[in-house]
Amino acid sequence: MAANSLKIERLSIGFPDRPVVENLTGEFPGRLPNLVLGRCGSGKTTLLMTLAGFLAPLAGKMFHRESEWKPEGKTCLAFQNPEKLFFCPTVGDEVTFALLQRGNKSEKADEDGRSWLDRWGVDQEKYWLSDPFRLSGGQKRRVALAACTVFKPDVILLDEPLAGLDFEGRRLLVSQISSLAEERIVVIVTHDPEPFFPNIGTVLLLSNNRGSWYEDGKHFLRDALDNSDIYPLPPWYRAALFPYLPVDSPPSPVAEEVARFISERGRRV
Amino acid sequence: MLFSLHDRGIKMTIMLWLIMLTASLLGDAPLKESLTSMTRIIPLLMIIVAGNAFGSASDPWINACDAVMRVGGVFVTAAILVTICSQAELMYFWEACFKPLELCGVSTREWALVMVIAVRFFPSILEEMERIKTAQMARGAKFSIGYSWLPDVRRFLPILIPTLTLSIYHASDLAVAMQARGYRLSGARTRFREFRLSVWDIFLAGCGLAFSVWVSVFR
Repeated sequence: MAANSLKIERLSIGFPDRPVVENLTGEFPGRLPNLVLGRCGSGKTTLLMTLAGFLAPLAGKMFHRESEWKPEGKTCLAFQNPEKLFFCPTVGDEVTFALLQRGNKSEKADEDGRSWLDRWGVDQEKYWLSDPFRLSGGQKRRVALAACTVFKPDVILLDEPLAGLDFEGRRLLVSQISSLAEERIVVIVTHDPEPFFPNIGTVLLLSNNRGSWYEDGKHFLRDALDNSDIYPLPPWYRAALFPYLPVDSPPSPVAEEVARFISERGRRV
Repeated sequence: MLFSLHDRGIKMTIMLWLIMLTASLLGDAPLKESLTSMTRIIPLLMIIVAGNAFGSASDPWINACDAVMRVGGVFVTAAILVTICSQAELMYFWEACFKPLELCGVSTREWALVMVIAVRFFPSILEEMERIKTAQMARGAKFSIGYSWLPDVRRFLPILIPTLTLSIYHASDLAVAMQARGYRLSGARTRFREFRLSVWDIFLAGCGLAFSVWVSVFR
């Protein structure tokens, strides 16, 4: 077991009369963001809710740092569009809310909140007293995620963090999430995994009440390229690599990496 | 409507609850789901209790119970109505209710539409509220009940404000979508399905009317 990892053993999740995923065994390590993929209804959000402690597992156990995982106060769960949770008049109030709820003194919460907001790429000097509802879409998302994670939990669970963002917003957010994952365990549920691919840890693919684990993105891409039923990779990516199949170490589904791969191997039609 | 209008106190509210439950059981309505869904309006019920229990009335706690049962009754009745009726039936029902107001120049069809949309949106708003509550709890918000009411009511702001904001956005989106499909407040409407009263409808309406008269006359 990796030192900083969230390990699950024979985990069954869902509802007593309708288990969604059964007998799940694997590990989400720290250092790189981990992805959970699967179709709608495959149990991705249910898994996040179970890891966060909002749903009790039907069976199985979870371990963190070699002791049983108790999520209370050590995890953050950000649902899709976390900016919908805004309820404070200023960005500062929004970010410090979680710290104040945990009993931090106002000055300390202010100081920590400001530095955390900077870390998420939002200029705290400029936006601390702004109305969070009036920020741009990308800024709202980063403020919302900063507000959700400001108490620096061990495990960060994100549901569709890139939904509805433009290219620049996605690029910024992916780099911030990756930097966050260097110190914590980050688990991301997404239908849009491509932007994460250059740097990802474990991939868990949920389908038919079962989970398939891939130790890194390369393994996942290799299998998904070999068998298109596993996961619908972008058509342009599949078409570009088709002449080179089977590929042991496929490039990430990012235009620059694919172009480099093709130029190194020589153009084939 | 009887839940909110009658002035005969908690005994009448209990009686109305019993009538509603009996009618639902006889009609095979999904009562369990409707009652379970009441857990979603606990914050609202708490505010109602706080508002009534500290009033100047002689029996504030009985008043509070009555108020909670009235709101719960409206909520459960609405939930049952929504489950067992089609959209068109609901629309027809509300139009019939507002019909007398046409004499005063009120556009009853628009009022009926507002009611149908409000009732239809209720379950989805409650579902959203549950999700917001979970997400705010993940941030550290606490919604437990303490000894002092005022701070506890304030604790629900992390749920109430996002829910209200979302409801306004939903309403705005719906208005835009309806306008985009050509809906305008003015203009003649046609009806695809014609509703006709059956003997049973007249009988039940008569029972309802008799009961309303009894409630108002024999106080």
